[in-house]
Amino acid sequence: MARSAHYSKKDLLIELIRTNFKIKNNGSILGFIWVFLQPFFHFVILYFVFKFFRGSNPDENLAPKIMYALITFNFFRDGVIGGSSALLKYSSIITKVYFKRINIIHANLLINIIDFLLNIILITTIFSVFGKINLNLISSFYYLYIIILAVGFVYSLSLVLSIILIIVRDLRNMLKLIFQSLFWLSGIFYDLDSVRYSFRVLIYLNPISYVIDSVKKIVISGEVANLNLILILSLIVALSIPIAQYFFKRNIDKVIEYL
Amino acid sequence: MTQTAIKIKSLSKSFYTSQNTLRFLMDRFLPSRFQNKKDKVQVFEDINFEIKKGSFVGLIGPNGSGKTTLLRLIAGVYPPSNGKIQVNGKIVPFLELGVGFKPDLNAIDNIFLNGVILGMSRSFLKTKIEEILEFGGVKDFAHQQIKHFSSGMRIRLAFSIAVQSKADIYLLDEIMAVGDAKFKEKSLNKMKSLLSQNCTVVMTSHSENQIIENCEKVIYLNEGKIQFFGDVEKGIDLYRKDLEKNGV
Repeated sequence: MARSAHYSKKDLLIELIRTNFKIKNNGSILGFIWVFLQPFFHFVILYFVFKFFRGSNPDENLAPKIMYALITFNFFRDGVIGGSSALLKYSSIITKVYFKRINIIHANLLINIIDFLLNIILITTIFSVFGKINLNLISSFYYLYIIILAVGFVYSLSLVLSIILIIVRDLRNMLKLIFQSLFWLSGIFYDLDSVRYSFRVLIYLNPISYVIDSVKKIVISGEVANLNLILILSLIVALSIPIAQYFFKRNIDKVIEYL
Repeated sequence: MTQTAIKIKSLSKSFYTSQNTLRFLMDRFLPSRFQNKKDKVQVFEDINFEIKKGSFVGLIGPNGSGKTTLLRLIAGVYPPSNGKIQVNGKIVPFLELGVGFKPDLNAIDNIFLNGVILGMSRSFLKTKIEEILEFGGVKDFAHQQIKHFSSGMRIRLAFSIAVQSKADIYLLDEIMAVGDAKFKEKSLNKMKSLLSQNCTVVMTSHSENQIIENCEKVIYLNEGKIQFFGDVEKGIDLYRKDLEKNGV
């Protein structure tokens, strides 16, 4: 099989990320600050609504819990929806020259990781000033491990869904609907422990919920929670990445001409 | 000893045309007995040819004969349905100028984006920025978004980036001369100097003169088959006769 040109993967990724960043902020007065403002305004609304509902029984850590949960959920949502549409987004390039198409998925993932990490750094700084964070060396490593797990989860889903989306375009709308539902089922503004046991099983079927629950507990109280579930998810992610890569490599050539 | 640059063996290519997703899924992912043959358009069937290193080959044929598809197959953009494509050396496909250009980015950003897509490194492009802007005649507009460029300026910029790439094999799809008369002459000279370095060229052009002036051999493609491969004048003659026969 013929393959044209010898590409520098690093240079291609840098250019795709740079381009995305510049276009996203093109013509905007606040520019890159929107990376923080969007989740912040969403947080403000959720915080005041749920503080009001809680009435006389306030949770003093409600603000950091919602904020950490929200940016973790946004990473999953934007990563999966963006990753699944990535090949379509770059179809005008993919159908004109050859380069390893998996780089498009990598670039999209890196763009989301950058936004995610910038948000984590900012909110950790802010909540540390207010003494709401309880991260030590061990809990920081556990938090980092959960982030890596989330990245792996989003990566493997992006690889598979990006191929399927080329054929089944309905998938984009389906994913939006799924993530709209998951927003209410992922424990963003409530603790999973407070959910009735019979419903909890349903919530635990959604891995985003216990990733978010683990993030909230490790960051705010330093508690290593859901260790068994996180280990099971680690195993699933570790197995799914090579399977997803194989699926992508095997099928990308079959679907590329339908872009 | 003359070496082979491109070798095509028993190449077939078909495209799926149905808009029905379920039929598409069955066609692509299930064994052939479940496939619906009516949903396919056969572009080529059992094509064979070999291009030697350092030769200039023209690709001619009526619109829709599959010239661009053949170049895309050689470039690896599309996979063949059947057969083998063997390429020895680095290919740079000029299938469309300005691939990846973003109107909201300025000329310099687009040079980096397009250049990297064409296989050039960022460090190489950094050393060529001035030359590219100068050659394209857009030096004074380097920091302007290219959505404010005229189509001529855009195509000049795109051509100036493309000709910086170094390859063993170039695939040119109707891009030998672009822009106004002055730039056309400049671009032809630049192209000739680039192509004079013992590289292999496969080019399509609707200008018979360009094919006659530049190519040593011609491939005449029609009705999914190679009708002729060899001497340029004989090939063009056959092509003209076929056109006349079909009343074109």
